[in-house]
Amino acid sequence: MNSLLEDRPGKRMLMLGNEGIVRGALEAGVEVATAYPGTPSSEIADTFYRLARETDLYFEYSTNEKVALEVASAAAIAGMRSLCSMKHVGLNVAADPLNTLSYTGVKAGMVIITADDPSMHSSQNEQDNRLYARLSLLPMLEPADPDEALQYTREAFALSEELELPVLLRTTTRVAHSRGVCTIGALTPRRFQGHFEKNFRRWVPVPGVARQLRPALIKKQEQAYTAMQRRGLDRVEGEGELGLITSGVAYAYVKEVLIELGVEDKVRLLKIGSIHPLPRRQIRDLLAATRRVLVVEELEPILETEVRAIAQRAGVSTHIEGKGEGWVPRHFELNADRIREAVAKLLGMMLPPRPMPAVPELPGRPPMLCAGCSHRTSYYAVKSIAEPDTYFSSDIGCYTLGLLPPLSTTDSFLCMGSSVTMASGVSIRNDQPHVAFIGDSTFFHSGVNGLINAVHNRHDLLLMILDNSTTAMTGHQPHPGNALDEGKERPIDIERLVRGLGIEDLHVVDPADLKHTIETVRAAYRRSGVRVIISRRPCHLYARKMFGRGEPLVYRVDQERCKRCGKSCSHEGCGVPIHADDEILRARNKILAADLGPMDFPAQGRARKPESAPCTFACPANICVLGYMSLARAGRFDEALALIREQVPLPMVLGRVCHRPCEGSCVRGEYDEPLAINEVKRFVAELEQAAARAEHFAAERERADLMRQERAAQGDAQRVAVVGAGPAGIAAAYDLTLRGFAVTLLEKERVAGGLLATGIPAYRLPREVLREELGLALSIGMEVRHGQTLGEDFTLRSLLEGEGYGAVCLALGAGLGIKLMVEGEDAEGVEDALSFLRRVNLVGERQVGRRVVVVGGGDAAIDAARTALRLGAESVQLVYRRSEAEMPASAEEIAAAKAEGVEMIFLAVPVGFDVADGEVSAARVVRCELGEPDRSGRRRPVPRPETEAPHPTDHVILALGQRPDAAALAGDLDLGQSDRGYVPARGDTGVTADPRVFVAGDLTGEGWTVIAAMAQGKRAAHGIAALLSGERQGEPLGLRTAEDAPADGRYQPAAVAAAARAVAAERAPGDRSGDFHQTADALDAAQVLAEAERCLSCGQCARCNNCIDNFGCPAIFKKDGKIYIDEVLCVGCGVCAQLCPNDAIEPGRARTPGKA
Amino acid sequence: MTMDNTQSPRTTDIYVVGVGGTGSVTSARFLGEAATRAGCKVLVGEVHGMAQRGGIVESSVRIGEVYGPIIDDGGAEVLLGFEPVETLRALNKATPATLIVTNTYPIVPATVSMAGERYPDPEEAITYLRRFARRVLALDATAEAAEAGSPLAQGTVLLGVLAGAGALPFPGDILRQAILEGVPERVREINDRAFERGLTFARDNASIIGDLPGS
Repeated sequence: MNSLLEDRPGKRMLMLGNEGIVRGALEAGVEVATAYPGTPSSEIADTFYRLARETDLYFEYSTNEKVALEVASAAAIAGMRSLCSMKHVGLNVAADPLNTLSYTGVKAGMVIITADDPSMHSSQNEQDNRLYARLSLLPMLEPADPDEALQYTREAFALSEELELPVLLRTTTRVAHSRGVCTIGALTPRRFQGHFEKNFRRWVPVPGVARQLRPALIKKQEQAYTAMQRRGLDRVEGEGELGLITSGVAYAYVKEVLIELGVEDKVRLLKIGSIHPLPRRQIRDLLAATRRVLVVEELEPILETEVRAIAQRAGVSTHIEGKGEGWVPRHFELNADRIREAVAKLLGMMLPPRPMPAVPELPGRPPMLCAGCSHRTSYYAVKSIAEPDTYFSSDIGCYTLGLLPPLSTTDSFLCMGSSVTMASGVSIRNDQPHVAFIGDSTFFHSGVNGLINAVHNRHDLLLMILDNSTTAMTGHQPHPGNALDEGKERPIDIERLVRGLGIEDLHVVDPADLKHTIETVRAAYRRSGVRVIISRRPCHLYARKMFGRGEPLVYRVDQERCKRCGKSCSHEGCGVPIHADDEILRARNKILAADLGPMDFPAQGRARKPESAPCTFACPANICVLGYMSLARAGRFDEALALIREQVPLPMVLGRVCHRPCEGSCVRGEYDEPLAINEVKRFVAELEQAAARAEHFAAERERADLMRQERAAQGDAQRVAVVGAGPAGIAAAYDLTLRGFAVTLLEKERVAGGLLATGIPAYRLPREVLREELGLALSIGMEVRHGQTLGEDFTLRSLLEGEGYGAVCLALGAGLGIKLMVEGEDAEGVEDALSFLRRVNLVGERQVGRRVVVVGGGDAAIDAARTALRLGAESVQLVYRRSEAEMPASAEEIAAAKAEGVEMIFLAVPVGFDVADGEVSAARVVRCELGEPDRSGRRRPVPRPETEAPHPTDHVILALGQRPDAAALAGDLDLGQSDRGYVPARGDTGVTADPRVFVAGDLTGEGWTVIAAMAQGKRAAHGIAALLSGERQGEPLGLRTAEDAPADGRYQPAAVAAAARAVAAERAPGDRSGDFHQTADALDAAQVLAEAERCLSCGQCARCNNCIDNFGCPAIFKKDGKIYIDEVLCVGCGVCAQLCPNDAIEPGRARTPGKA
Repeated sequence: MTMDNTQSPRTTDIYVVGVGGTGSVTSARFLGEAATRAGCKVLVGEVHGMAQRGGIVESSVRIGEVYGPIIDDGGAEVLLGFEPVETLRALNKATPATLIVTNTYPIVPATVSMAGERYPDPEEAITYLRRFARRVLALDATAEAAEAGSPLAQGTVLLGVLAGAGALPFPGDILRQAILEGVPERVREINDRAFERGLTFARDNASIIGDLPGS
């Protein structure tokens, strides 16, 4: 049996103030109790709820306070003793019936409990509900402790029956939530003799009736006064010419201060229990007997004002103090500390100062959504799709705690139900996106009214109903949406209710299915009109209470995957910070592509992400593509550029000329089309303003200067020579300069850039772009000497032994064109592609033949053909010995050349050239057929001599590949050159047979691309640094290839939504083939955002902090830079595993018994 | 109630502080229940609501001639802390004469991971306590409770310390009985052992405790 049902009058029991109220009501014979829970009143309702299960007492959790008050008052009108409880702001909801109920009154006793919350421990305001007694003209009592709460409630029922008026009983948090010793009285049996007696003149307050009831109510005030006086709820303690008037818990503080000051019996203290009407005679008596009076009350000066009025009426001149500077504060609850000075001042006493302890700054500990809370998941889903300016209209409940970072999903609320209406109002003629949140209980309370309004008035509203199947904040009370006892309660289906309003745009999601929730929210977010999403998952605590401990698992962080990245750069790692907003987008892409449901996790036979995305390894320079895609996706274009620059100094150049091995490896290519990775690079590089670019390189120069000074200070000043200012040499020189070496870059041409300047035509790489970026890169503190040819102006030996360089990086390139070795090849009018392009690009010559034949199928062949067209050739034929599919040139280049009018002749090869007057007149071309595959895997072309035919021409350009010019090294150091003149790079540094000489670029016979040459340059720089100063000895540079990438497979997301690759705008072939202006524009910002969005983030990220930065589950914590899951707090919901972009969270062992 | 840092003979004010979920409110209730059984006047103050969601939970147990539930700054005869940093945060309730009993097992708030706030070393927190108050009993009550059978019985360990230190104006056995009758049957023995461990700890540290009113 519940101890509150004990019938042993006189027994002393420890009771909560709220329990005292229930006991008092039982002693008065209460039969019907109604409530809407709200702190600090909730335990009244909860206690009644439990009692109603073991007795015939009727109790209901009503839909809202208005409903509760109406049901309870009608019961009392029908002759059943009733009690209705609510928190202070609840009485605002019930104020409508309240203020007319006083006109009609009741038949049986009715008590209305208003639990006020001074200091707003759990409320949005601290309104003083003593004012409601004055507004409604109803009697009001106020207890000062739990025992009084019990006694006053019992008295209130008696008073109510005597007056036939409901009686208000006001408590405050410190009474409601205090436990004190109460003396119980006798229980009164319940009668249940309800019957409505018709009486038009009482129960039908139409104006004619109300006009009768109102004067009667005023008249009744006197009756109420007398009845309350008779009950002795007010008392005077002590004697003296100083007076104190107080009520409620303020009495306790006054009493304690008086005891403390030792003046308990030297002042006259009036303790008021009857708040309305006030005990005016006792007040008058006190005023008459004292010289000065201090009114001590919490919040509003209600007693004080009436005391002043009474004094004025009584004609006494007693000095009255109350609220005001130096006296009793008007805001927040009182305590002895806050009134001690006022009381002492009244008494003319001084207070000694007190020692205060020294306490360091301590970390905050705000209340937050529990671990495993489904609201957090709903909010996370919304945050992952919402634009930054989205207005979040929230409401009252646990979910208000979403206001805290990292969720920050509460921008406003006013009162119960206001989320719906505020979102409606804010959206009037306003395009700002919004999401409104409301809990299930609050929705029934008063949210549904706003929803009806939104439908009817065609508001734009996206409402998410956070249905956790209980009223969680106040202690898991039921609400209309659920029923614990279906015999007594019937559950109402929110979905059917919403649909019943005619809302078709209605979706139900389980937030634990994060993917479905995100998809649903994203789609609804983009639509307009009234949209409702019911996010349904029972409160974890509630479910555990009702159904026992659920999921046996706790999750754990796999430290091998968390904050790891397979690149393991030996440099400083990513110097670019990661941001919450790009992390959440990266995580979203993973969630949307991964097809993980609730409680699924990657280890269950699903593909987890490998350490690094394949694009990173496919890139010779290991540029972190997923990193810069993440940044670009969040619109952080400048930081995306900074991340690219971590690996390469020339992003603007690369953005135009890179052959994009990354795109070839792109996982996305298996689903639709690879990402336009290089286009994104080009965009972010070109977006940068020239001034910002200059600033970047100036900062690099400063960095290099500092490093150089540091080296000098350590006696480690070293000089390094780099031979050849092509991509490889520049990358090496740049890297070495940044490492603090004094670098001399020796170049035979009068411009730097190597093939970038001499080989690549301006329509692909505008000269001003090359000049600007290259110029800046070379200005960071290295010395550049032009016109210096190896073997003529200097030798390696002279550098190392004569000039005192500590090491040399050799990046000569491969400048000799390979010949066909056929008749007529040496005639006038036959030249190799590099010579042709160099003449055009560098020297500015514009001579070209009338009928040009280009031989070859690589990029140089295409460049030569398209250049020839632009110079005015009447026809350009490109002769290639294999078929189009085998052409090494990129598909885009081939297509562009064709579009511009280059005639492609496949499966054909010149076997000789006709020469007239020393000049070429025709190429003799034979057709080929494809035979067996050769060593390259491509089918070998087999010439068919019988097909030989002349192709008249006056200009043949051979683009058959290049080889190094061995002459430059003749007689110099032995570098272990191959027969064909290549200098093989050894080990992972590019060192040659001579330990002081390192090689990079085409001279190595490997790579043959700009990005590969740059990577080799960096590799050589690393080797040189290690050689010269033992820097990072033995540590690999960390540049990895696809072959030595971690063998943990390829990411295979299950559900990738198709999205087309962005294509940049191009000039029409007819317009562009006559000039050297660039042919293709960069993507625009919208295209770049969409393209970045397509990135599947196929690898891990070492800087990821998403679970903490965006999810914020209290079970997840960080210690010494690592992330862990607290196994006591973890409830095993598994949502973190779904959202972890690194796939680093997985189920651990089952929970240990005895924990949690 | 104190004004001049001396113990008031009339009341025993115990300020109980913890973190939502540590059981501090339940412990305060047991103290209130025991005081009631002992025939003392008692008021137990609790703050419900928001504080339960992992936030700070403060309770007051006021035994003797008391009227309101609030313990003033510098008003606690006993400061009972369930978490070292929260004990430190509540130090304004203590005077140099206050007996402080605190758990040393840390519960690091999420603000440390999320907002980069600093969580002091538990030892550092205890040092601050000792610098201000003369009598500080610090122990890993969570570990002691785990030894007794369940870390959830940490409150019972701390109450055992309180009883063993003679800080209560009634015999410790009354508190023990109130606890054992108040917990579910299946964990009764665990709590009995936990209480005993608390008593033992207090006995072993008798030199720190010295004389207390009511002992």
